[in-house]
Amino acid sequence: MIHVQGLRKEFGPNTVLDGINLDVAPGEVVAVVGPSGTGKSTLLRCLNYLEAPTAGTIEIDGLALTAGQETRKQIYAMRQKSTMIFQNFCLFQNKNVLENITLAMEVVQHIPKERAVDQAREILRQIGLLDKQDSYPSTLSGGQQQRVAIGRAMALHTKVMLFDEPTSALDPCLVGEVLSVIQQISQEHNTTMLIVTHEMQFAHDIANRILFLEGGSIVESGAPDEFFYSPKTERAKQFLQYYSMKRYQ
Amino acid sequence: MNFDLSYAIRQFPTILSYTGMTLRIAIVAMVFSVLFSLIITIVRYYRIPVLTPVVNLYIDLFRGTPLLVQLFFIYYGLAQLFPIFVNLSGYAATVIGMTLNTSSYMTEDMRGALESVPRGQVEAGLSVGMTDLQVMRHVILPQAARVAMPVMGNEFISLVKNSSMAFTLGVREIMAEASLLGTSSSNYFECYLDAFIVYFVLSKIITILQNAVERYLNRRGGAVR
Ligand SMILES: Nc1ncnc2c1ncn2[C@@H]1O[C@H](COP(=O)(O)OP(=O)(O)OP(=O)(O)O)[C@@H](O)[C@H]1O
Ligand SMILES: [Mg+2]
Repeated sequence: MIHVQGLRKEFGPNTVLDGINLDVAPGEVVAVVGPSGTGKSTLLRCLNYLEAPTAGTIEIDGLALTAGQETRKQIYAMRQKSTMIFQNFCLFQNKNVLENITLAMEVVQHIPKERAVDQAREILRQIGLLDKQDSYPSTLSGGQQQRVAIGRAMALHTKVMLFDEPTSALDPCLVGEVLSVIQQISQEHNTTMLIVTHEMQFAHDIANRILFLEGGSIVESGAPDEFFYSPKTERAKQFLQYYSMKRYQ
Repeated sequence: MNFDLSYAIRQFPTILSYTGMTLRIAIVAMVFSVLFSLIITIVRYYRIPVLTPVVNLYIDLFRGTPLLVQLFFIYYGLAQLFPIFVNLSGYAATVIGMTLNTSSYMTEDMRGALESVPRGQVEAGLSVGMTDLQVMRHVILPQAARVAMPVMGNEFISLVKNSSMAFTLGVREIMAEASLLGTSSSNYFECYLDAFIVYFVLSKIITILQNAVERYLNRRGGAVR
């Protein structure tokens, strides 16, 4: 589903992604972990083409773009292959909950308004926010906002969803509701997911594979039990110790 | 001191009746200013090559010179050089001059409003597959418009007041009428007092309307965080 080869991203003199190679199978859920500032967000943003890579090839769902050779049209097409869930939700502040979900359905996918509304309400029912359909984002809790953001992404039925620390801006007591929505999607739909997270328990439970990123490279990649119980690299061991995941070691 | 109150009262309805022309100038210039400012603001926002420096030069020129000079330049100056401008009416010249003048300031308000919309809003729009133009139209502009609302009200009040300069181009609006009546009767004080009151009340009414619109938008759970 995702095939990345030699992905590099430089910001001026800083190399943030240093030749990433990555293959993700359809329906696979990959958790991306690693210390702060190692390029986890940048990796996701490149996949969604919110950042243009400096070098390398990204292929999602059959569409391959090579850095430096993309046309504007291809970039728009690539962005439609995946959707991003942001740390700070980024709901459209001028739209109510229902409109947040239907906007791209109507404008990008040209789904007729009535059908878009029906589908959006079905999604709101699934994420337990049907009663909030007329509310504006600023009146919702963080957890509710993030669930709407996930609903906005679900509505587009992209094969890939990218989560950039979906719970780290939330009060601890609101984390659970968001994680369970993500879990629900991964079980009910066969969505391919890349999830950047600092919630190690969640990463362990939801992912088929853990990707450990450091210094812009993939340092270790393995099944959750393998990664958490018997990490192979010294860097990963240190990182897990730092998270005091003793019970997994 | 000879103040003829009854003359002031008698002439008030006449002067008041020219409010229509004053408002017409202000409203038409406002509509053109908003459209024109929007275009040049978008040129600057996306830093469109070639056009951006041209727009910046225009802004510099129109901010650095008085409105009255601009109006004379357009009405009397251009007609001398370019024959097509000879048929330009005083009213049209006023609207053009005031549009160009107001836009050179309004674009800055609009730019501030656009930049007040967080970058995340743009990225969220792009991420769900919208084009830059769609993001601009459905996400950025509505939020920016909400932010720019109060300033736009003030710009409109300025236009109403500045439209008084149209009388120098022979347009008959409040100020022109007050001047004419004042000169013919030598009751300058009475006539300008009437004009004074009309302009003041107009400004007040617009401010009240502006506040009402604000309150309405706030109730609708508007975009301002
Ligand atoms: N737009 C940008 N311009 C310049 N440098 C950037 C930009 N975006 C990110 N960086 C730099 O790239 C590096 C990696 O950033 P990134 O946000 O991908 O890290 P991260 O792994 O997501 O970290 P965190 O866990 O803190 O979110 C950082 O050093 C950051 O300062
Ligand atoms: Mg990050």
